[in-house]
Amino acid sequence: MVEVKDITFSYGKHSILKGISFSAEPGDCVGILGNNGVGKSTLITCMNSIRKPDDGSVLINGKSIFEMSRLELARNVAYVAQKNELSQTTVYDAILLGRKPYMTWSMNCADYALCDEMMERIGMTDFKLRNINELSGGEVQKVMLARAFVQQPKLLLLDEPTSNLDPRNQYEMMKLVRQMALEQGISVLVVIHDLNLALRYCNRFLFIKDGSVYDYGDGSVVTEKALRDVYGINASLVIHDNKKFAIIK
Amino acid sequence: MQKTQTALKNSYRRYIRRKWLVLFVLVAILCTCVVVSISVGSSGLTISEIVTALLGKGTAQTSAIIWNIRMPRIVTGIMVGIALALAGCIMQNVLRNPLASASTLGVSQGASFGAAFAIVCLDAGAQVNASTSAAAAVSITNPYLVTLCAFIGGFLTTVIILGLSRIARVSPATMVLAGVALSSLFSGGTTIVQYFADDVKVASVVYWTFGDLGRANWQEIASIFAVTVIALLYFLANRWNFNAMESGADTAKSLGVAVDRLILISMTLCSLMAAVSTAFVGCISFIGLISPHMVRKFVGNDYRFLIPASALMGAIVLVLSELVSRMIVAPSILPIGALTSFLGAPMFLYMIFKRGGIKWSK
Repeated sequence: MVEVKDITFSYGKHSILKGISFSAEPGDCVGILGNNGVGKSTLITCMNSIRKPDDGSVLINGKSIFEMSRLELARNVAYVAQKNELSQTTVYDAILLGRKPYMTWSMNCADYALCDEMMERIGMTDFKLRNINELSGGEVQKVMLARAFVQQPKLLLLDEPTSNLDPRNQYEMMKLVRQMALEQGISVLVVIHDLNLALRYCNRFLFIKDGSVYDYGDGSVVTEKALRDVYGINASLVIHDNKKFAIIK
Repeated sequence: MQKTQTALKNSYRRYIRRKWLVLFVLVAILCTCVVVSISVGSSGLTISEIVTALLGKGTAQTSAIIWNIRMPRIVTGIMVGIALALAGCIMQNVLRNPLASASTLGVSQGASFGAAFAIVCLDAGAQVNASTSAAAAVSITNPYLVTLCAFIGGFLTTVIILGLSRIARVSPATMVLAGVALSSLFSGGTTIVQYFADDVKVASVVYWTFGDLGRANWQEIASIFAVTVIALLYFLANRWNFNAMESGADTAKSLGVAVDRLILISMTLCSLMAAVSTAFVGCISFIGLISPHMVRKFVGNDYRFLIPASALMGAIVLVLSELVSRMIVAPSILPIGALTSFLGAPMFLYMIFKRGGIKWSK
């Protein structure tokens, strides 16, 4: 279980996050929603110690991440950045890097086996020795996600994983995230701007407005009023095929 | 599924074996260069004479030529080549800058200034024999002081570069420009030091900055060896961390890399290697810059292989340059620093223009 308590962060005198609190169970996929600049990405980076919050705590199964060693933290929290710097390396080596937190001197057979399995899982076996620079945006995101999954984390942080992807890749990506989260009992926090994608694949929603939590909960918190208050847009929510969709007016 | 995984494992094994093969080929090339370099000189030696002498069974004259004259130059070339190439390879990684190297960032020039200061102001060097070649006329009487001052000069530059990259958040391109500015600053400092020195000391510093592999004795070679081996072991132990750094600092942190500590220790070791090399053999440019790029084509950016391959390529380039420097206007020996610049600059330009060979990170 992941518990976030009163996370506060500021850049100098400019306050970004003001006491963010929420919790997520294993298998939960939490969509973090809000306008640009409200602190969604900052929250994500505070949750894996890339940024040190001014105050507050993040607990994973009762243990604070700020008390964990670097390696222990990397074994518990995986992160996929919004923009990925691509190295001149193969797809297989890029995924293998996810086993680094478990490595002593070199990778062992179990590490390789896990990567083999993951490559097959994401359907990229034929790309194994392809240079990662030669892949499309969607394929690169799959590789980054695979690297995060072989880290075997308890908490997965995704910063706009579907930006720059075509609709098909967006849905494939989020479907994979949801499946893996449920199968492996990973709590996923995903910063996402596509409301319909979030409504389809997330089961919890965290609305952030002006650095504070506007609302948090299951699909019932996604209301027309919430969208108007948080995004400043008029949208209708319709139910189709037992699923909720947002239509912006 | 089992079948697919076995095929995957086999193809990856073949891919890794190819990279090992590149390393073996580089070792073989280096060995060949060493043997050729030993055999070439005013006293022509045959392969059998060389092998016999290396096994300790040669004549007194052959053994003296090999062990006292040629081997120190070659071993210095190998060690300095490894040191400078390693420094370039690691600086390019931690600064996320493909043009980073001890010479382009001004570290070598900072070390040069430190060493010149030690020679002129602290009497750590002297002109001992003006009748021989110009470079051979200079002797460092206090190598530890020269190394210390060279390290301080080099490390000062490193601190400024690190400060710019971290505090001012300058781009990789700006970092190189800052290196140009620092190089200019330290060159000016060296000129000032020379201006107030007497003629003999000015001559010593000028000859010393030419770069000469024949200057280091076995004791000094041991110092370069010790620093380089420590740095190499540290870099190899952190090869996966350098691989993680290629994905950006944030991703590296999320993979458990202590990014700040890695950068600080790596840059300190790079400065130390550049400083020790500069202190004992003078300024040698381009080796650190081009060697990693030359082998990237064959081993990619995988630091498990890039680190040893860069080191071997650095040694090969410097041993070959040393050989050419002795052959062009024999029996005189050209300054090695000038020669590496002549060889390195066109090679680097070629790599830049060929398929945009060098990529900037953002």
